[in-house]
Amino acid sequence: MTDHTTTPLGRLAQWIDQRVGAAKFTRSTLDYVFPKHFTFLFGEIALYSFVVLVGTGIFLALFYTPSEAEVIYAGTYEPLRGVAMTEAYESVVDLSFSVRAGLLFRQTHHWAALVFLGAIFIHLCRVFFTGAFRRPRELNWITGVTLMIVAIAEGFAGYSLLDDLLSGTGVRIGYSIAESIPVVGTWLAYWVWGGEYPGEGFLSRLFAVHIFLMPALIAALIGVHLFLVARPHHTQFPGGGRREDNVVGLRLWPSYATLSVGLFFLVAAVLHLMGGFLQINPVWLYGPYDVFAVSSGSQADWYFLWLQGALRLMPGVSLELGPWTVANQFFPAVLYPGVVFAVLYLWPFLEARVTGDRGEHHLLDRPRDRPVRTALGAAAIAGFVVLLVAGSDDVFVTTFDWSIVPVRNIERVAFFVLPALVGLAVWKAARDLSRAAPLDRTAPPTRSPEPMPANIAPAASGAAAATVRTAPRRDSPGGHDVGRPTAIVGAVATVGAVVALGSLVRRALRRHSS
Amino acid sequence: MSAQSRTGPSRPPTASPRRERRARALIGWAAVLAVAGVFVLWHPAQGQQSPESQLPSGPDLYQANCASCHGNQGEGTFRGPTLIGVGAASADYWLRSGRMPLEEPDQEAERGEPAFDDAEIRELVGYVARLGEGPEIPELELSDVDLARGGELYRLNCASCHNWDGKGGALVNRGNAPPLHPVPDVQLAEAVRIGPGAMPQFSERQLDEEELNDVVAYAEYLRTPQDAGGYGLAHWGPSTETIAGFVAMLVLVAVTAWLGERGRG
Repeated sequence: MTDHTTTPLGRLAQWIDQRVGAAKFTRSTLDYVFPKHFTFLFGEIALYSFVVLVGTGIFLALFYTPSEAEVIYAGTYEPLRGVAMTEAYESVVDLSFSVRAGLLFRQTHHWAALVFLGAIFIHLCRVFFTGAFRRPRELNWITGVTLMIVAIAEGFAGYSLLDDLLSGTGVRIGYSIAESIPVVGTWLAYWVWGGEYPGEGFLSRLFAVHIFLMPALIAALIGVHLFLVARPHHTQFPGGGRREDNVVGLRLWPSYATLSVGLFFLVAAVLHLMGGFLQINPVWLYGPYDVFAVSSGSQADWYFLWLQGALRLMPGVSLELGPWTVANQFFPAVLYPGVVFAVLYLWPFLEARVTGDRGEHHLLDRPRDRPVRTALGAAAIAGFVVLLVAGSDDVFVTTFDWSIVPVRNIERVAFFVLPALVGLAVWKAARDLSRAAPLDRTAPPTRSPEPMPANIAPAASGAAAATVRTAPRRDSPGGHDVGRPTAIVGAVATVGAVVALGSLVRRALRRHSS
Repeated sequence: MSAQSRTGPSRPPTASPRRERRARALIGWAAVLAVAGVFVLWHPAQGQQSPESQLPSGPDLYQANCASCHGNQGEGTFRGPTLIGVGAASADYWLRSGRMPLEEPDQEAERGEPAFDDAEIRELVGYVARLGEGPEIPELELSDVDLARGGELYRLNCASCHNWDGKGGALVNRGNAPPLHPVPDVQLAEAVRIGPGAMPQFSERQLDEEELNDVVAYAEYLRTPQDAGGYGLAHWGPSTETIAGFVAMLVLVAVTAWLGERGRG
C-alpha cells in the first residue's frame, strides 16, 4: 500500500478524517453484508420506483398548474378546442401534447406509481410469508405498513390532481366516503375540500400534499425503514452455514452496490419503456371533469380498485341509530379497510400471542413450515383478488356480454367462499410439503466453504438471543464482484430507453399537431 | 322465390310434339327461374336484382315478416310493440342493424347481419313511415362539425352508459349498453333520435341537427382516437393498466431472480 498522506489529496482526507472520524464509519458501512436471495430485492424495486417517481415528478411539477380557474382550451388537441376546463386540466393536456417528452414523463410517472405500490405489495407478502416481521422487527413492520398506506394515499392524490372526468369521479367518491364517517364526516369533508363538493382550492391543497408533504413523509419512512433493516441486520434463510448469529452474503462494496445499482437501472429502463410504449391515463380522451357527467367503466388504479370492489359488493343497507344514520359506504370504504389495516398493524403481536413465540428470529421461515400463517395469507390474497375483480366487473361483463347482477352475486359469495377454499388447500399443501421435506437445520454449509472471520462469535443456538445483540451478525464468504456488467447493461438500457422514447413521443406529437 | 310455386303443377307430357316442345320450354324456364331464385336467396344483401324480377312491396314484406308480432296494421300485439308513429328512423335502425326480425318472439334483439337487402328495407321503412308520423332518418353532414362540442355532449349524454371510449357498459337488469364502434354513423344518429331499448330518446329540442352531427362525429372519432402515448391498451382504462402493471411486476421479479443468481454467497 502506498502512503496516501504524501499526496495533497491524501493529506486533506486525513485532516478531515481526524476531525470527523469518517474512515471507520465508511469502512464498516462498506463492509456491511447483505444476505442473498432474490426475494430480498422486492423492496428495492419499490425504492427505485420511488426514485423514478421523484425524478419524473419534479419534471411534471414544473408544468402543472394547481388551479380551478376556468379557461377555454385553445391548444393543439383539436377535440377539446373551445371546451371550458380548469387550468389544472389544461396544464395536464398541454404537458401531454405541447411539452417535449412531457407525455413520456407523465406516463412513466404513472407506471412507476403502479409498480411502486406493486413492489410494496409483493415485498409485504414476502415479509409476511417468511415471518420476517417477528421480534426484533415489529417496529419495522409497522413502519412498512404505514409506508404502504401513505403510498396509497399519495397515489390517490396524484391521479386526482389531473382533474379529468375519471379522477373527478374518484374525488367525488372520496368526498362521499369522508362524509359517511359517523359524527365527524360532514365536517371532515368540509375541512378537507374547503366546503361543499367540489370545494374551493382543493387542487392547490392536494398539490401541496402530493408534491411536498407525502413525498417527504415517504422519504422519511423509507429512511427509518432502511435503518431498521440495517440495525439488526437483514434476515436470511436457514441453511448453508447461515445461523441466527451471522449473516452470509455479499459485502456492500463493491459486490452488492453494483448489483443494486444494476437493479436501479433495470427498473428505470422497464418503467421508461412502459412510459413510452404503453398509454396510461389518456386524460384527453376522458375529457375535463364535469360534475354532471360520469362515464361507465370508471375504475380506480389497482391499489384503490379493491376498495372500489368492496363498495360495489356491499349490499345497499345503512344503519339507523336513533337520529343518526351510518351511511352505506362507511362499511365497505371505512370500516373494512380500517379492520384490514388494523389486523396488518397488529399481526406480529397477534401471532406472538397465539403461538407464544416471543423469541428473537433472524432466520426466516419457509412458508410451508408455517402452514397456518401461510394459509391465512393466501386466503387474504384470494379475498383481495375477488375485490379487484369486483372493482372492474362492469368492464368484463361488457366485454363478454354477460349480465352484471348474477356476476355480482357470484362475487359476493366468492368473497367469503374462495378465501376459505384457498386457505384450506394451501394449509394442506404446506403441511404435506413440510412433512415430506422437513427443514434440516444441521445441514452442512452448501455455498460458503470459506472460514469465518475471527470476530464472529461461535454458533450458540441456545443462547442466540443473547449473542445476536453482542456479536455483530456479520460474516461474508468474501466479496465477489458480481454486478458491474449488470449495472453497465442497465445504465445503457435506461439511457437508450429515454432517448428512444423521447424521440418517439416527439415524432408522435409532430405528426398529430401538423 | 315464387319461381318454384309458379311452376309447381307441371303438366304431364303428351304425345303432341307442339305440346311437348312447350312443356320442355316450360321446364327449361322453370329451371332458369329456380337457379335465379336460389341466386337471389343466397345473395340477399347484394341487392343486384335483374330489372325483370318483381320487388316485393312494403305491405307484402310487412305481412310476411312483421305482422305476426306487430299486428296486421302495425297496431302491435302481446308479442311486439306498435309501429304506428315510430317513424322511418326506427324501422331503418332496427332492420339495418339486423335486430329485426327476431327468430323467436322472446329472443333479445342483438346486432347482426340484416335479414333484408337495401331495397327491401327501403320498402319496409316506407311502409312503417306511412303508418304514422315519427322521427325521420337523420341526414348527417359530418364534413363541418364541432368535435369539441360533440365531445362535451357525448360525455354528458352518452358516456354514462356507453363508456368514455364508446365500448358500452353494464346496465343493471337491462342487458348491456352496446359498443358504438362497429355501428354506421346513420344508425348512431337514428339511435339518438329513437332511443332503442333502455336508451333514452333525444328529440330535436334536446339535441338539434347540428348537435346531433357533432356528437355522432365524436363517436366516430372514438373509433380511432389519438393514442399519443403509445399502445392504447384497448382503452379499458385502469383495468387493463392494472394487468399491464402486474405484467411489469412479473418482469421485474424475473429481473431480480436473474440478479439474485449472480455471484456467490
